[in-house]
Amino acid sequence: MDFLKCPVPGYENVTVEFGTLASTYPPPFIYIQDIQALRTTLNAVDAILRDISNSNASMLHRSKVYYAKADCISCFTPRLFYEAVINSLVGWEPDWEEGCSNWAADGVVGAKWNENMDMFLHGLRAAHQYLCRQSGIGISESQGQLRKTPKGKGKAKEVPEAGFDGVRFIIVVERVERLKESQPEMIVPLTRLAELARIDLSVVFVSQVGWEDVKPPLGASPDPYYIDIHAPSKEHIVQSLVSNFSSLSSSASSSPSSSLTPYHPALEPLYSHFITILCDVCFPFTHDPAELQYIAAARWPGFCKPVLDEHKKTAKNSNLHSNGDADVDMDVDDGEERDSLFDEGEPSTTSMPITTDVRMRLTRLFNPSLTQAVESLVPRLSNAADWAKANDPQPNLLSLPPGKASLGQTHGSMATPSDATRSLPRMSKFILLASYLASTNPAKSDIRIFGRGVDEKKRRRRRAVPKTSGKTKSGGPSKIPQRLLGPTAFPLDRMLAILGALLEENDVDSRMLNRQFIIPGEETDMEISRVGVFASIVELTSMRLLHRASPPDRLDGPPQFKAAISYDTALALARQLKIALNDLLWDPM
Amino acid sequence: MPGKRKRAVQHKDDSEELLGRSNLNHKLVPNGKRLRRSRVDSTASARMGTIVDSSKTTPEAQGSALRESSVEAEASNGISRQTRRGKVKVEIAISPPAKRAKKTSCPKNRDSQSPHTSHEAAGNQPSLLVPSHVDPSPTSQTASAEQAQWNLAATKLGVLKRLKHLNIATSDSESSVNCKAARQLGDLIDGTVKRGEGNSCLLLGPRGSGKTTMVETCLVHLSDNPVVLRLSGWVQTSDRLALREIALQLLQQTGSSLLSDLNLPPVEGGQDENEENPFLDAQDSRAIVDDLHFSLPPSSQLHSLIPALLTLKRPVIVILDAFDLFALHPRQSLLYCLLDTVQNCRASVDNRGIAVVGITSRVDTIQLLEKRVKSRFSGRTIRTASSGSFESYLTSVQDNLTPNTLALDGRISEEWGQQWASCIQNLLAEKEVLELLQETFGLSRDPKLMSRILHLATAIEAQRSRSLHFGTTSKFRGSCAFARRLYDEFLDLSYPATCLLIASVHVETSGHSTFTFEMLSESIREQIRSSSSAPVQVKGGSIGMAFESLTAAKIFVPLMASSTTTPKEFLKHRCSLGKDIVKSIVEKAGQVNLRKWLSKAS
Repeated sequence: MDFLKCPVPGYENVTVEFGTLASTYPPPFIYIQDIQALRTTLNAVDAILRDISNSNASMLHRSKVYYAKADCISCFTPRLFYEAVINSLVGWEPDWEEGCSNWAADGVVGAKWNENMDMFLHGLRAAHQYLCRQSGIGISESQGQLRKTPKGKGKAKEVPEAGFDGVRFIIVVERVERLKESQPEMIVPLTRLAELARIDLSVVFVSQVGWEDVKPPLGASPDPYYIDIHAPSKEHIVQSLVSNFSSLSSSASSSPSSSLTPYHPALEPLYSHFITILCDVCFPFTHDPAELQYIAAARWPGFCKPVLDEHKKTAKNSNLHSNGDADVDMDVDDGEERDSLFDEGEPSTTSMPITTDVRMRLTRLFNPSLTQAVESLVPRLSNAADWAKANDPQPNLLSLPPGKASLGQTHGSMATPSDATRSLPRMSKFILLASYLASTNPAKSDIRIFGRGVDEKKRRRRRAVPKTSGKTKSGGPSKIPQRLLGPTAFPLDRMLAILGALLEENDVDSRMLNRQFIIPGEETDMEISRVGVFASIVELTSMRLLHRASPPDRLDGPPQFKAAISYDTALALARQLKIALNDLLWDPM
Repeated sequence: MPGKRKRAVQHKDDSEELLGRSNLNHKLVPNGKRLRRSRVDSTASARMGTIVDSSKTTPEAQGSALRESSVEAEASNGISRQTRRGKVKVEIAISPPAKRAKKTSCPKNRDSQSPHTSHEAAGNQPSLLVPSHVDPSPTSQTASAEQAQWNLAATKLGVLKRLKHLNIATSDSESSVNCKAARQLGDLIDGTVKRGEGNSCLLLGPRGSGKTTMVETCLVHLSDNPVVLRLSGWVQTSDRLALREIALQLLQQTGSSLLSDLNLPPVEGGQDENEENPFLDAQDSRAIVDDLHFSLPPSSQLHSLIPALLTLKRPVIVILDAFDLFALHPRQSLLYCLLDTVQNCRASVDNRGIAVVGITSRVDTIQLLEKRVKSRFSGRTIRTASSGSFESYLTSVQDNLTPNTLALDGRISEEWGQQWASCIQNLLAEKEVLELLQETFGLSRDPKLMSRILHLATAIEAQRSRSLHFGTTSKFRGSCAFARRLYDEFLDLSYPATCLLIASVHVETSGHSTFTFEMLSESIREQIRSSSSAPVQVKGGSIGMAFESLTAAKIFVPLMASSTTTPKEFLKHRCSLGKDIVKSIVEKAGQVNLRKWLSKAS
C-alpha cells in the first residue's frame, strides 16, 4: 500500500504483506511468528495498524479499520482480555472518577461485556454497530448485511469514493503462548472469532513460538494465514539504532540541564560510527535490537566522554586566549562555548572536530569493553546506568599519550560464587561439601573413595575414563557425569558418614588433643552427632543451600536432601578448607 | 538490442532486490555463495520469468514466453518490439515504465549495493508509478500506466475478496454431493418454515467442505423471517451458558423474553405488548437484555425456555455448530430438551415449526448420543464433501483467481479482464504449477489451504512488484511450500545459540535423547578449548541467555516443569529441530569452525 511507510528498517516485506491484507480483505485469522526480535515486531505491527486506521478511504481501502491490542501477559484472565479489547476498540478509557466503568453502548447502563465469551461476542457486535454509526455508516445497512449476506455476497453497491463502506476490527493478541498456559479455553473461540461474531473482523496472533506449539488439539481451530518474520540483518539494526539518535537527542535537549549531553546533535556522525562498531562486536552474540540498544545506551556516554572532554578543554583554552579573563565561572563557560562552537556551523556535522585518528583511537580503546558489556548487560547482571558508571573512562583520555591511555580493568558487577558461602561457619562448609559429594558421587563408590583400611592409606579411585566418550564398548551410550545431570537426593545418614570421613582426614589435626577418646575416629564420631550439626543442616536448608527432597512430615527413614550449590561453589569451598575436591569426585573434571 | 535486453534484466534485478520476498525462494538458489542473500535471491528470481512480461506480447507469444529458459529474452523482445511499433496497449505496461523510471531516478543504486540506498529506493517506491519519458508517447503512456495500475489494483482487490469469501460450490456440478446436500437441507428447512414441521438433522462433513456456508445460504434464501438461534460448542461450553445465549438471542430477535413471561408476574403491560409486537427497535430490546441480566433465574427454570420455543409466533431454527461438543455436556440435557421439543412439535395451524441443525465434522457423533436423546433425534444425516476431483479443484482455483471485476466496478475494461483470464489460464496450464496443485490436492482438499496459497501467491506478490509477478512458477512454488509449512525455516541465529544447537546435536548422536544446560555448556567449553577459535565466553551469560531465548522460542523444549528443588541448569530438555535443519542453520551462518564442529564425530 502506498500510504504505508515501513516503521522499522528490515520490515518492508512485512509492511507490504500485512498492510495489504489488513486494509483490503484480511483472512479471519493471521499468525505472525517472530523468534528473535518479538518486541520490534510488536512495535512494527502496531505502527502498521495505526497507519491504516488513521488513513483515509481509497479504492483499495474500503473499510474503516479499528484495532485493539491485548497482551496476554497483562490480560491474564478472560475478563481482563475482554475489557482490554472492547475498550480499546471503541477508544474508551476507564476513568477513576466514574468508577472505572467499562464502555457501554449508548443508553445501556451496566451491560457486562466482560462476563464470558458470549457476552464478549455481543459486546463486539454492539461496538461494531456503535462505530458504524459513528463513522456515518447506517446501522440498518450493516445490520442488513449482518443478517442477510452469506459473507459478503451481493455487496456490490455503489458507494461514494470518499467514505468507507464498513467498519473492520483487527484484534492483535500478543504473546499467545501465554494464553495457552493461562487460559487455554480461550484459544479456539478466538481463532474462530470472525465466524462467531459474524462481523468484519480479523484476529492476529503474534508470538515467539510457532502455531504448532499453540494449536489446540483435535483440529479445533482453523489453520491461520502464516506470516513469518525473519530476524533483522545487521545492517537493518544499525540503521534503526542510528535513526533512534534524533529522538534521543531531542528528548535530551528538552531536559533542563542540557549543557553538553552525550546526545548532542553534533555527535550524530560519531554515534553512527559507534553503532557500527558496537554491532560488529555484539551482533554475533544477540540479534535482538532491543538488547543492542540497551548496550549502546550503557556504553555511549563513556564512549563520547573523551571527545567531550577534549572539546571542553580546547574551548576553554580558546576562551582564555581570547578573553584573557581567568575568572570565568565554569558553568557559564560551558554554556558559552557550546553556543559558540556547536551552533556555529549549522549543518552541525562539521562542527565537531572528530578526525579519523580520534575515531580509530576510540575504537581501539573501547572495543574490549564492548564484549564485557555483552557479558554483564545481556543477562542483566548489572543495569545500564550502574555499568556505565562503573566503566566510566578516566577524564581527558584523549590527551594522554597513546601508550598510557587505557580503560583499565572493566568491571561487571558479577557476584562471585564464593561470596555467599564465605561467611559460613567452618562446620557448615564441611557439611555443604559433604552434601555436594553425596549428591554427585554414586552411593556405591563411597566405600572406594572414603573407605580406609587400618593399614593402607591409599584411596582407590576409579580409573580415568578416556574422554573421547561417544559409545562404550558394549554399544550403549556413554555415561554422563552426574555433575552435568544435576544433584541427586541422598539420605541424611550417608551425608553424615561422608562428613565424618572428611573431618577425619582434614580436621583432626586442628582439634585440641583430648585424652578422653582412645579409638581413632571416636572424636569425629562425636563431632558429627552433635546437635549443632543438625541445626546447621536445617539452617542451610532454610538458606536454600541444601534442598530437602523428602516431605517434612515423613517419619520413616532418614530425611533426603539435595545439594544446591554449583560445582564452582563447591570448588571454592574446598579451596577454603584446603581439600582437593577433584580427588574426591567419582568423575573428576 | 542486446544492450536493451541487458538493461531490462538489470532492472528486474533491481526491483526484485528491493521488493522481493527475501527468504521465500531461498532454496531455489542453484549454487549460491551466500555473501549477500538478497543479491542472490534477486538473481535467482531474475532467472525465472514472469508472465507479466509475457502478457505484453500477443497471446500466442505468451505460451512460449512461459518457458522458463527463454522468458527473459522473450520478454524484453516483447517490450522493444512494441515500443518500435509504437503500438501500446492500454493494459500492458505497468512494470516497464516503472522500471525505466527507476533507472532514471536512481541509477547508482545497483553499484553501491549498500542497504541504506536500497532502503531509500524502496521508500521512493510510489514515484515508480510515474511513467517515464523514454516511451514514444508520454502522455498516452501516463494515462495507460495509471489505468493499468488501477486495473491491476482492482483485480487484486477482486481476487482478495474472492479468496476471503471462498466459494467452492460454484464449480460443482449439479449432481455433486454438496448440491444434493444443499437441496436436502433446503427442503428440510422449508418444511419447518412453511409447513411448521419439527425437524432435526445432522450436517456432517470434513473441515472446509462448506457446511456452514451451506446453512447460511439456505437461511438467506428463506422468504419468511424465522428466528435463528446460533450456538457453538466452542463457546457455549456448558448447558447453562447455552441457555443464556438462547435467551439473549431470543430477546434480540423477537424483543421479548419468553422467560420473563414465565417467571415474572404479568404485571407490566409492556412485556405483553412486546410479545404482540416482535419487531421492536434495538434500544428497547437491549434494555430488556439488561433486565434479563439482573434477574437471570436458576438453571432449572432456564430449561423451561426450550419447550416455550414452540409458542413463538415465528418458526425457529436452531443451529448447533460443533454439535459433538454439545453431546459431551453432562447428561446431554440441552440436546434432550431441544430434540424433545422437535418431536413434540405437531404440525398444526397455530404451531410454528422448529428445526435443529447440527453441524459437525466428527463421524461418530450419533454414537455419542445417549439412548433417550438418540431416540428423539430423527437420525437424518446430510453429508458434505470437499471437491471430489482434481478437475473441479482446478476450476475452483481458476475461478477464484479470475474475479468478476466488472461487478466490482465498471471502470475496468473488458479487454483487461480477458487478458487476465488468459494469463491465469496459461499459468494453470503450466506443468509445474499443475504438479504443485496436484500435490497439494493429494495432501488436503481443504479449500482454506488453497486459499492461503493463492492469497500469498497472488495479492501479496502482485502488490509488491507492481506487476503480475505471482504468475511466476517459482513464486507459486514458494508460496505453496510456505502455506503448507513445508519449507524449513532458515533461522538466523546468534553465535551462542548456534553453538548450543550443535552441542545438542552431538549429545543426541552420542545416544542421549535429553540434555541439560550444563551438558551443552561443558561440550561447548571443551570445543573452545580444543579449537581455541570460538569467540564465545562461556564464563559469562551469553550462552545462558541464548539458551533461555531458545527455550522461549520452544526450540529447546523442557521435559519437566521447573521446580524449586531442581535448578534451571539441570532441567532436562529436548531439541525440537532435526539434525538437517541445524545443519542448514550452520551452513547459513557460514563459519568454518562451526561447520567443522558439526561434522566432527562425537
